[in-house]
Amino acid sequence: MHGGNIFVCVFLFFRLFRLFALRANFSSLSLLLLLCFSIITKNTSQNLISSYIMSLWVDKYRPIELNQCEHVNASVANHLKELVKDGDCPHLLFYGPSGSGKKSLVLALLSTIFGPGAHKTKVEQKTWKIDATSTRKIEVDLMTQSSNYHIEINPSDAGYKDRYVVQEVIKEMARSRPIDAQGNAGYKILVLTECDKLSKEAQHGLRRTMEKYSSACRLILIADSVNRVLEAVRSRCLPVRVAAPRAEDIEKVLYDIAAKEKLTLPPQLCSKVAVFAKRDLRRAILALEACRVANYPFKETQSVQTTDWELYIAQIAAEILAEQSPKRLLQVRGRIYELLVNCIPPTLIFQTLCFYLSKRLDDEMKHEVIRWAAQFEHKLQLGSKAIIHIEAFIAQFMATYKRKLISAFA
Amino acid sequence: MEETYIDEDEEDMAFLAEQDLDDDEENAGGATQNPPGTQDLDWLENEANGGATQNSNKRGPSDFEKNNTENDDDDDGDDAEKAAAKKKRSINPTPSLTEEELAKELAEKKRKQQELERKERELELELLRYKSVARNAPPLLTSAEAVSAGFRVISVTDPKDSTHRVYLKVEERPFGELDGDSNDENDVLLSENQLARKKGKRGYDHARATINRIHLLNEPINDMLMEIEEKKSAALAASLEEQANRENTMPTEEEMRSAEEEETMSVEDFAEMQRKKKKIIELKAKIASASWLTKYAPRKFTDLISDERSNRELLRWLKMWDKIVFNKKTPDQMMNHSIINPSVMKASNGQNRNNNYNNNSSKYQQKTEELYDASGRPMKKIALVSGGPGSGKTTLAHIAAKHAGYRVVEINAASTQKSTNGLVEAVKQAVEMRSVLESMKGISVSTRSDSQNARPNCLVIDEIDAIFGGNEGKGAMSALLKLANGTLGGKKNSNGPLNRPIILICNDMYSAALRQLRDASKLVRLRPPLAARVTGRLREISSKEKISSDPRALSQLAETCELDIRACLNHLQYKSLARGKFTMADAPISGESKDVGAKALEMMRDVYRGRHAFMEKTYPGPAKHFSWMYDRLETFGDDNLLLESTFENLPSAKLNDSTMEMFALASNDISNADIFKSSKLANSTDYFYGQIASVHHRASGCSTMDSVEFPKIKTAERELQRKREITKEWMEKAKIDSRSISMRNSSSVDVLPYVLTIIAPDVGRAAGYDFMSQNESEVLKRAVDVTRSAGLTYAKTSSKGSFDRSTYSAGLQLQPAIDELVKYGCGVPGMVSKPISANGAAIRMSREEWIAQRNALNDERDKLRNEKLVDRRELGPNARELVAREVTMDEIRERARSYNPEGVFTPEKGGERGVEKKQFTNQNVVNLPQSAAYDEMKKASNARLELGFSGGNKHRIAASTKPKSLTTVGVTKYKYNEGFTNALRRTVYMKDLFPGMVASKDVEEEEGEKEEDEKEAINNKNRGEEAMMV
Repeated sequence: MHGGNIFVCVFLFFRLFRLFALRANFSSLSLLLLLCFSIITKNTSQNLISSYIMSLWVDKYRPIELNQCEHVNASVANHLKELVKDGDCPHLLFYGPSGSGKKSLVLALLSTIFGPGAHKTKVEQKTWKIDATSTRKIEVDLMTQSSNYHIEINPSDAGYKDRYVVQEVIKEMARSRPIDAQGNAGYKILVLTECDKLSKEAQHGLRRTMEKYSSACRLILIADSVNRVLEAVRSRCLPVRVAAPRAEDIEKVLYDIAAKEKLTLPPQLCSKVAVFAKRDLRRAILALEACRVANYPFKETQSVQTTDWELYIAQIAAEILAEQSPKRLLQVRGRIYELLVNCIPPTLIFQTLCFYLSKRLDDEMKHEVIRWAAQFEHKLQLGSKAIIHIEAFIAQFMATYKRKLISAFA
Repeated sequence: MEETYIDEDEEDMAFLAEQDLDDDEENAGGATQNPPGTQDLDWLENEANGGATQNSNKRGPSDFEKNNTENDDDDDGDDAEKAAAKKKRSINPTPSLTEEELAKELAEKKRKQQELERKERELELELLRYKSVARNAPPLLTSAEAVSAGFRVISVTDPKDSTHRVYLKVEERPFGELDGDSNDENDVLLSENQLARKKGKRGYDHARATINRIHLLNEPINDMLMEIEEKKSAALAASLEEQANRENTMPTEEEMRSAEEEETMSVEDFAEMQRKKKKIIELKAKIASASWLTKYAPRKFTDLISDERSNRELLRWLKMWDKIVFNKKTPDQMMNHSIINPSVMKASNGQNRNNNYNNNSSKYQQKTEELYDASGRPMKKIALVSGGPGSGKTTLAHIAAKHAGYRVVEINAASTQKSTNGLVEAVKQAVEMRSVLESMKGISVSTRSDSQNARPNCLVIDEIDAIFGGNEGKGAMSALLKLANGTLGGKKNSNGPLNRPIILICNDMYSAALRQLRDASKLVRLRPPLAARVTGRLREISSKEKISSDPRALSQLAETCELDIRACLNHLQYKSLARGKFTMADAPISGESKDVGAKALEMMRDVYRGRHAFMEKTYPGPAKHFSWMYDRLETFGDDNLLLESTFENLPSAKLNDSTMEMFALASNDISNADIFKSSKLANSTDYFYGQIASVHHRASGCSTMDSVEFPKIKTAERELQRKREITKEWMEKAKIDSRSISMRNSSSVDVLPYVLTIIAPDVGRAAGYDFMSQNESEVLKRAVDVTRSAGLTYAKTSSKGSFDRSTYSAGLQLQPAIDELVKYGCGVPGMVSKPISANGAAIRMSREEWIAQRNALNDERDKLRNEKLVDRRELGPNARELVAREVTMDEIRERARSYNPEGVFTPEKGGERGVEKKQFTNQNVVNLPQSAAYDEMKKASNARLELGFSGGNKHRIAASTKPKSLTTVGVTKYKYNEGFTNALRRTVYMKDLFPGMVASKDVEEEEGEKEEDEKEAINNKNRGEEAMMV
């Protein structure tokens, strides 16, 4: 069917081409090209949606349009819909914890503005050559995902070079402004993920370029926490808070998915998964799918799978609490190395370790733990070798805990 | 099945061994020109030849005659002199011969000489004629002219035919320096002078003239001398032996030599030569001692001490080019030939050998198809050899290429220009034509090098990780890839696919720059050699060098150098050369191989222990520890190493501390030190040293220090880098729809653990969709979909050698290997270290202790491995194969869909995956190696079974298989077998089992069978009762 449409389109193109080409009217030719292209993109969008069927449930049941946000972020979606009704939007800053649906909202927003063509993306590794100073040239490699209407990058991947990246990308986008069917100069959208991890310099650079090129492109910033985004940048954007979904909402989504997958989901299991997910929708859906694979028909008492690294950290925490000695410290060091090597971010290790340690402590000690964790995580940001700071935290905890134990028994 | 594996292996081995043998023979053949003693020094000659910029022609000793005649036209007097001398000499070696014989011999010699003189004259004329045309040749000189032009004329006599002389061109240099012993070359020349002195005053005079550098004609002078002497002594020895035989006594070599000495007039000359020879040998040894590394570099494939499996893997890959390069059969074909072509089978009269192969023909067939592309080239046209420094990558590449019959052309990527064009040009040149240098040499190549030049090139690019960075590097890499695929320069310019093998060498296979290349090339990961082999080689060398070495010291050397043979040899040579022995005291402590390492360990001992008497003296006052330490740290140099090793050794330092408070404070200090090191503050280095000195202060109560360890943070960082590459690859390969994976850095943290569960459902025995319950097949189908959309598949890991048969079927691994990212409890590879005692030597444990410790370690690891963190299933080998196949099939379907949207093939109906028959053009066939492999496999198995079961009437085989192979020309039929696993399924008829019963109806059945085959191809489900599984 699509093939037929394409064929018609091509046919049309050639007929008109003959008409126009003879007059050598070039501008009308390009217009025609655009017209044909828009027909093609409309066609392929159907194809695209059908290919979602095979991926993970998380991706399969991601809302494609803002209308489809029913249980989670419904009000935000409504507001956004109103906002972009005229086909334009200000700079936006989405913030909220991981798994709350920021990215989904952005993608839905894009397709609401530009139509399904926004979903026709390609991933590529791009290299930019940037003149840092008059003498030095910097090369930056970054992965981008782009459609005709937007580019998505994660500038923090570029490390300390991130400031060059954001400026360069925006400049590049400004150079190639799209022209719509009516011949009006349109705009592109630049989606920057993990904005809170951008360096201060990069954010300052962003501030400048945001204003300079605002006619050619809109920025959508995505961040976990708004605190790490500069005040100046924040004030230039319309902040959109995406709250973590409540357990009830997550349950609704899970039921929905189960119904679409033609599964019977027992309520106990559903609430179990929802609670387990700790208000992280992504985690909830993944866990549900893992449950499905592990055991079907579902049992109410079925266990919900957690992640390997979390269990490992829990194990480490138990070991630390069981014995405080240099030998144990050395042993734990090996474990932390393993976690780090398996690409678990150090901050996450701090956070999780802190959580599992404080689980079994009284209130006074909990304060201590959190204080030390915060201090050493801060040091980690300043320093360069994660293992040193994590171990310093563990040693500090061991000392504090031991002192506490001794005083309690003495 | 096991058995057949062994057979294959044996065959491979046998084949390789044969090759080895052949090669050895070849070598032996080549060696006759060089006396065996000089072989070790080949490199020297080569270097000397290469290094000198002379316009000297390459001439073998046999060519002297020609050269001499050029310059020799007025040397008649000399000739006469020599002839007389020769007469004398020719009598001398055989004094005990009878008069008759002597006379005969004399006559013979005379005749020969006359003949030679005649020839000489002819040649002279010819050469004169030739010379006038030659381009760069020096003008013809008389000997006098030659002398005045700075040639020194020495005649070196040969006992056999002494009509030849050697002319050497000599560069000018003040004579005074000759006396210095400093230069080895001078020594050689001195001996040269002595020779000249003996020969006559003319030579002596010219020896007194200025000499520095011999412009060698072909080989270094001493080699030529050696060779001549060798011949001479051989002749003498032969005559002596003859004599001895005649007298029925068997003199030992010693006696022979003494006999030689005793030869009065006649042997005096020879004795002189002997002495000189000895001296030369000594000198040579001196020269050779320049580096044992090159002296004892492996020369043959069997000399290599690197990991055997990797070696063979590379060699095997090289051999796969044989069909293209040499038009020979590749090893796989050689072994398969009898099976593929039944007529050959018949011809070979079906020995037992063949029957063995029958069983694994299909496996071979399948493998062969996987490995070769349509044109018979290997699928992977580039080999990427990786390994740590000193693991012998370059040596392996060179030797394997030589062994496989190639001439190695090496491009050092680091030294060539970084530009794409430069590299590509160089590569093209090397691959497509003879190198420029060689064609220039063209005219005067000697026979030996000629045979070498006739060999095809094999390109070796060293250190490619150095070039493939940044934009330009990317260009270079894509150009290289294109070259490999034969698409460089568009359709018009392309010279077709690559015709010669290319071997790339890098340190780190997983560096980001090489990602693209990794997919396209055969990966050979060179593991470090076995410790036993390294020490064995070290012992061998030390015994050759007459160094008494302590085996324990050698093994420690090997260990501390981390099996880096280069470092080992350098160390061994450096430490033992002066004293002629190598003892425990000479063996380095851990880390000393890297210079700073030793210092670092010493430093650590000071940080965690040190209270030195002198410290008290130099730094009086209360802050003495601190100031002493601070000064000491400041002079150390490598801050990073300092930080890392301080951190590394903290827990093993026995701080006098039961409350852990000191540990907390010390690690806090280290944490601060890290901050100051990374900080850009002006005084930050001062603070950094201050923090480390503070660690020393905390540890000042520490009295003992069990062991000092070299920091291992680097190892962890490398491993992290490797795993990051895996995730990146995964993110790139995931389908765009999989938003939760692509473009998300954290996907390895939150999505990965679930994905691994989801793609590994419980599918029972996974025998195929037919045998599964509704739920099972649904789950599996879903798993396949997810696997595919997540960009995963199962593939045979390329790092495992193809010789490793045991893992062949079970070795299907996730690709990209994301399952490695959830491995916990086994430790980071390469991070477990051996304890080292306080004085720096590795703690020597008794064997029992060591075993006990190892077992304890293993137990702990096993425990952790068993208590799986997440209860996650793993797909069995069958299911993996099934999923891998389904993923491939899905890819094919999708491609077919995009290729022909109307849909040629029947769509699936209601989940039932029937047999699909599809037709593709040949263009697509190339892209689908796997399905082609299966098709071929089926065919091969048909042939095999027919062969196996048809017993007596073999004529049927030829009849029934021939038409089949004919029908496959042009269009390839793809048959998709539901539930395909490793086991083969095919139809066997009762008549096949009982040939005697139906022998009379043979012809009819043949027709019938053909029809059956056709039918089977269309629908293999309707098999009827007579079908059974095999």
